[in-house]
Amino acid sequence: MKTRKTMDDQFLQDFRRDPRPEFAEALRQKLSQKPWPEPQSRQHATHRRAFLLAGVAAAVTLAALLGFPSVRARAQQFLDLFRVQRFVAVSFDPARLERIAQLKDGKLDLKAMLSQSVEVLKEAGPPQVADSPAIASQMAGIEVRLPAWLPDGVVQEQIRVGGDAVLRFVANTTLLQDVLDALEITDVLVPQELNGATVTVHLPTVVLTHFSRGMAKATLTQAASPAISLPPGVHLPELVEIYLRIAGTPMDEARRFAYSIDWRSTLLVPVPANVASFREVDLGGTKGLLIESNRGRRRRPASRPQSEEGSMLLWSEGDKVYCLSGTIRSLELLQMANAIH
Amino acid sequence: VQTSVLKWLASIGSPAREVEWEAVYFAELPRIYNFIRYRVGDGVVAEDLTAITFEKAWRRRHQYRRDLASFSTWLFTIARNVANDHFRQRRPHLSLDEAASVPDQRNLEEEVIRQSDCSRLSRLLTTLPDRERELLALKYGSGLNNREIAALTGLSESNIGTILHRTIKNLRLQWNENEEDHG
Repeated sequence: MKTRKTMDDQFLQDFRRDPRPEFAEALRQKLSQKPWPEPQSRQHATHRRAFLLAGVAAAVTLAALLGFPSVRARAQQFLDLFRVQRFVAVSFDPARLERIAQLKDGKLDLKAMLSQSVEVLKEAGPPQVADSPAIASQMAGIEVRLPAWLPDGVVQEQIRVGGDAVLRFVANTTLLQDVLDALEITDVLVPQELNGATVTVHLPTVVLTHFSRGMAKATLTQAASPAISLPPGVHLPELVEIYLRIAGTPMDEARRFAYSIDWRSTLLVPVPANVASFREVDLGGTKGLLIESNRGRRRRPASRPQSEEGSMLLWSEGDKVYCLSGTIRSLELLQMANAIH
Repeated sequence: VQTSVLKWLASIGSPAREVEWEAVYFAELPRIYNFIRYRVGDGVVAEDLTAITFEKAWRRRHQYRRDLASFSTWLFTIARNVANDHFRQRRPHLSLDEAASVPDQRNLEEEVIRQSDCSRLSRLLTTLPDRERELLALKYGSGLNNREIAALTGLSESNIGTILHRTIKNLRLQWNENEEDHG
């Protein structure tokens, strides 16, 4: 009998088999019949977090998929505000997204997908200046914390408090499915229950503290957690997996990544591979995510504005989320973050 | 990305109850199942041991600590113990082809060839020492990389690479000899 001739990695992998569906389902049901011993309050809190981060992931994912300045700015507002317990970054290739926009004769208008789906129900209004951290705390309803130490030459400037806002997303999965079809990605399914569903985001007040050293600027943003609701039945890892597949992550890697993280408490931060890099940092026992502009690491040509450079440090502590970003050197941003008590 | 996330997961000190069990189940079931298939063969036994692994993990989920290992690593540790217990009870090695009871949508000739290859490979696998077979199961059954296998077994990555290289080389030699016998 004719057999395969070469024993190599592929040959050895070819003998994998999926478990029989009947076996997989029977075992799943057997396991699911056992009750979770969690107290009701814990379940409620977990459920709420699930709603919360689902909206965050969806918003940031969509925004990152686009890469248009106005959308990025809006996504940045979300990012500064969302309550999360941890951040995890993934690289994506913006050029791939540009290519997607060119598919089907440019009919895949990703920009429209987001702009049409976001509705501002309540504007935050312009931030109000607070004369002191204590006043800012009163205005925002949170305990405002500031660095007890600043790098040489860095001075604290204004403290401003932004009002709360309410946004609403209307999910459009038709276009998302079109993108998957155009990319010939068939291993993920867009949750149909998401189509037309609304996600309401309540953004609480945010406190912005500005710092400067000459032309170098930095802003510390801090906020309490917003409340976000998501339609029932939406499975968070599915959304993450879809995003990763569109962003170009191989099938196996996307699935493993999507299903290995508890997205109810994790914010996915997409980082454009060509403009920034990221790494985990330790902030006095708390893990943070440092995103550094690649441009900022090299000498800046006079023709390039300083605003294109800089770093962003994200972390969460207690029930608040922090973002320290700016053109002050990233090492100094880290020192400032470590000095916040 | 996966490596950085696993490393990141390992550094987080949260209890297991925050793991989304159903998501983990569907992600890990094929990997655990194939690890056990490559380890012990036989479809029924593989299913039994897979079920035991998940039931043990479910019962012990409160013991899982993210600051010590990723959930996947923890699950594979249980699966390895379940497989070892199976061998300690002196159950016989069975073949991989018995597990392949559901044919793919391939033409009949390809399926027959595949079954034949599967049968031959299983016979070769049964001749391997436990450690070598386990490493092959982790690498090719579950698709773990050498770093993940190192975290599970305590062997160094380079040692794993060397053992796998040597094992596959020997398997290939035996396969070719067997091929000539067939020819």
